[in-house]
Order: sequence, then C-alpha cells, then structure tokens
Amino acid sequence: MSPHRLALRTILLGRPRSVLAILVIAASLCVLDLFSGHLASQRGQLEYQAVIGERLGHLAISRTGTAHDGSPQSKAFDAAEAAQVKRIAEASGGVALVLPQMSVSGIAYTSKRSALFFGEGIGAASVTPELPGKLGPKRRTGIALGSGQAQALGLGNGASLTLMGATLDARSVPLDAEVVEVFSSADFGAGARSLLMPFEMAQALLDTARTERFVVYLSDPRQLDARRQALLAALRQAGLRVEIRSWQDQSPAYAKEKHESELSLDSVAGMVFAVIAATVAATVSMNALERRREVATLRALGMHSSRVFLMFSAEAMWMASLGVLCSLVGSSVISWVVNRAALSYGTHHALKRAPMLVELDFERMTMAVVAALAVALLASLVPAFKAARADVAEGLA
Amino acid sequence: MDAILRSGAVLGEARPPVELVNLKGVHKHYRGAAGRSPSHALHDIHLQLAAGEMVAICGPAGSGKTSLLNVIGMLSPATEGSVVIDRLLVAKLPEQARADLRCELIGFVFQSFSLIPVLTVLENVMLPLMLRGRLGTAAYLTLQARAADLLARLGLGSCSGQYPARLDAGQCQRAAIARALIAQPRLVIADEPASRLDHGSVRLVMDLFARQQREHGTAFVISTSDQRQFGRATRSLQLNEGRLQHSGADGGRQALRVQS
Repeated sequence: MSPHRLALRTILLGRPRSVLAILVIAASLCVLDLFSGHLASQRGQLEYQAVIGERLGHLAISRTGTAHDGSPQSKAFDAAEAAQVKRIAEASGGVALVLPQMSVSGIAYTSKRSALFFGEGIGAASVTPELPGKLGPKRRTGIALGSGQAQALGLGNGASLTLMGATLDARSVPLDAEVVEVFSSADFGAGARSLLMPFEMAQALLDTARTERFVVYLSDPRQLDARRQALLAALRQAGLRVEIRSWQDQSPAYAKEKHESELSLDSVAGMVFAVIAATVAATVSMNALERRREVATLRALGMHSSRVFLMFSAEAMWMASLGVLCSLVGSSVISWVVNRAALSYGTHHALKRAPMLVELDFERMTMAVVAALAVALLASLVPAFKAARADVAEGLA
Repeated sequence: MDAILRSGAVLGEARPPVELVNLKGVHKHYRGAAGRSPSHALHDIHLQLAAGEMVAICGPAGSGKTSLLNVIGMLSPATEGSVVIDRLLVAKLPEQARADLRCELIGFVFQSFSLIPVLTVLENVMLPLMLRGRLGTAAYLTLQARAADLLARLGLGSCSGQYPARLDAGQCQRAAIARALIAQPRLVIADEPASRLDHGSVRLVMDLFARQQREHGTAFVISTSDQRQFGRATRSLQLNEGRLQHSGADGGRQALRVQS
C-alpha cells in the first residue's frame, strides 16, 4: 500500500480540516496571483506612460557622456551628425520610428502666474492618436502641458502663455505658446517632463540647430537589449561617439514604482507563504494526533516508520498541490471577472481614472507554485517526523 | 533477515525449530507521571510458545494482558529479560527489522479493531500483504479473491466494499480477524477477539482459528475473559497484577476457577 495512495485517500475521503487547509492555500495563492497580476498590469501601464506618454521611446541615442557630464546642449549632434544617426537608426532592423528630441527648461508665465518648467521638444511624427498628435509643424506654437504644470499656472486647453528659455550664450528668448493639450502627469516623478513642445520650438528657445538625442521606437520591445547592441555597433562602426540608453534607464518614476511594487509583492508573498506554512503544519500535526491509532496500526502491521513519515509528507504535498490547482482556477476566473467588470480607480492629479486590470504573470505564478510546494513540504517535516516516531503500543491503547 | 542472522541476533542452535516465542524473566515497567512512581505491568514472566499451540491468557482488567501481548508482538520492548521470537532476540533487532518480522510472522487482532477508516473492508483485510510491497496484477487479483473468500466465510461478503464507519462493532471485529488471518501468519496475537461477537460469530471465529491452527500450524495467543474460548485453548494462563499465577493444559477450566 503506497503512502501516497493512503495520503490521497485520507484527504479525499473527507477530513474537513484537510479540505479547509486546501481552501486556505488556494485563497492565499489566489491573493498573491491576483496582486502580482495587478502589479504586472500597472507596470505595463507605466511602461506605456513612459515610452509613449513621456516620449522616452524604447531607446535614446545621444553623444557619449551627455547624460552625466556637462551641458547637454553643448554636446548635441550637429546637423550633419544628426542626419547620419537618423539614417543609420532608421536602416537598423526592428526599428519602427526615429524621432529627434531636445530638452529645454525655463520659466513659463502668464499675466497672473509664473512657474519653472522642464520641457521636451519632440519630433513631429505621431505615435499615438491622442498625444502629441496636436503638436507639429502646422501648429508651431502649440504645446502640451502636464496636469501638474497646468494646475500651477491655472491654464487649460486653448490658453496662451509665454515661455522663456536660456540660450548657450546666456541670452533669454521669449516665445508665445498656446496650450493644445493637457496630459496626465500623476504617475510621473518630480523630475519628469512637464511640458511638451514641437522640436523646432525647442531649438528656437535654445537658439540652436543641434539635436540633443534621437528616440527610437522598436517594433518588438521584447528585443530591447538585442536591438540596442546592434544599433550601438552600427553607429560606432560609422565613427560616431554615441551611447544608447533604454527607457528604463531614463525613467526614475518607473524604476521607483517598480521597486516599490516589488517590495509590496515580496511582503504579500512572505505573508502568504507564512499562512501556507502555518496551515500545513497545523493540519498535519492535528491529523497525526487524531490518527495515532491508525498510524500505530499501520506500524504494528509492518509499515516502516520512514513510510509513515512519507505518508504525512505526501499528505502535505497533496494538500498543497490541490490548493495550487484550486488557486490557478480561482485566479483565472477572478481575473477574467475583474477585467470584464472594467473597474477603475482614481489617483492624485490624474485626469481620468486608471483601469484596474489583472494580467496574470505566469512566470511569477510558477515561482509561487514551486515555493508553495516547498513551504508545504518543509512545514510538514516536523509533524511527520513526530508521527513516524510515536510509540506504537501507546497509539493502540 | 539474513543480515540479522549474521549480525548475531540469533540465539544458539539449541532451540527447537518449532519454538516461536520464548520469554525469559520479562519485566515491563511504565514510567509514572511526574511525581508518581513507575507502574510494573509485568513481573518475571517466563513463557514458551510452540507452533500450532493456542494459549489463552486470562486475567482481570489491568492485570497486564495487553502489555504481555505487546511484548510478544514486538510492539513494546521489555524493560528487563529476553524476548525471542522465531529464534531472533528482539532486543537486538533494529526497528525496521522488527516491523518486517511483524509483517511476515504475526497477525494481530487489536482490542479496538483498529481498521483503517479510509480503506474499504476488503482493502483493510488485504492490507498486511499489501504492506509487504508492490503486487503485480495477478498477485493482487489472487489476494483480492482470497480476502473476499475469507470475508464471506466470516459472514461479511456483502460488506467488502464498504468503509468501516458503516459497519457495526461485531462486523468490524470480524473484519479485523480476517485481516489477522489473510497472510496465513505463523503467530496470531488476539486481544479480546470475541468481546463484541455474538454466540454464533464466536463459534465461527473459533472454528476458523482451529482450522488455521490445524492446516498451517499457526500458534495463537489470545487474551480473553470469555469462557467460550477456553475450551479450544491447548493451554491457559492466568495473569494477575503482572504475574503469571497458573499455567495449565486443561482447556482453561482450572484457570477459570482461579479467576473466579
């Protein structure tokens, strides 16, 4: 008689405690799967926000050292270099779009208020319908404001303001602008760009014909690293001193959010595995206590104590396995319902409510399953050992 | 088992091959609870049992009957003295070897049936042989047929697919007896096997024991206070406060007089 068979029979033939333990394991793992799925969805939204909303692109090509050393403007590409970089990047495999960009900062003011701004001059091509489609050569003075900046200046769509930037030779150039779009900056960090303008407007504010960087959008973002290496090799082969940074390198807001979400996930995972360990240990201990006579009978009839140990460990593993199975079904059903229900939640400075979505993260779910089984096995060791070593005659008494 | 023989756990060659059990000067003490003195369950027990014998052990509650059966069945070690089962000195056997020896040699009928609740009656009966290792399909089917036949002989043919929780006490007792006999053991240790049985069932069970004794040379050690079983015993022992007070080969009638 196999210990596994006996263990499975014990669970299936109605020990309410074992069934309850299976449900607790399933519910705990469901919570973890759904939380991890929601974080994955949030990260996806943040990625979209950074790559598309903040116009960071997947990759950014700039002259070596501009990010950490000296004035970016002084190290920007001249017109000839810019044309060469654009040509090579566009010819590189897997590249969907290459756009020039220029950072610009200064003071934005109206007749009543003024505020510092950190802006970005972006290429005219549109990669999303909503923004910056309204920016471009046809509306040379149109700008898009982050919601925080718009609030600070008390401006909305159609309002006018003046931007003043400082050139390399310390002159100030004021330019009139018109707000054509207000975008959500709720999830951006303090250093995030609060103002988007046409690339040519940024060049005019800085009084330069140079290009600070090119942002590259890939057709398949999963090949980010491979494309970065290939592009870097092609540009360096052409004699250009360039560096390429990914959108993760450039987005402190995303890095901060990711770090915080992983910390939360680790805390929840810790609690979930503690609950699983406690449930399994308590259930196996109580089962062993209640089944003293049964265990003593098996041992009296010739079952080795090692097989008794195996039987209780197998029982814990079956409980965990059935719990895992229930959790997978439960997580799939609940995530489907949540996604179908189109729930949403509001955040500070958000212009519209964020969708509450769950994208099940199968890699993390697999890790959770393995961890749950390991925790269940470990938690069963001590009670199983005690049951295996119990006195046979006492058990039969 | 060969390894045990080589390890020197076997006593000398002087013992007759038919001798199954030999207890010499056996004492059994139980540790008392905190602040209490230990209790002495068995005092200086000397007992030999040969193949084909049926020994009835009687005595009042607390006289040490179950302790004696546990010592013979290698379920509980003797505190002092030597216990030899099938020419093997039990004290020198490791736990696993004792389990193997119990599995191969002994059939148990426990006082409280001790059927496994998650196995059907048929599976409970088959259990001792299934614990010996994985069975092939043919061997499994043969065993199943033998178990079903044994259950039918004990009047439990219709209960074989049921779980023990659905049986009454008498049916559970008979199922436990079938389990003890299925492997045709050389020794059956039965603790009050007839306590929950009616008159007819006692006769049925005792006939089955007698047949097993006759056909396979099985030895029986039966703890009982039921007169109906003394008539079948080849020897009866009276146990009182852990001491064997009387031993007779009179079918148990003297023992009964001592007890009364």
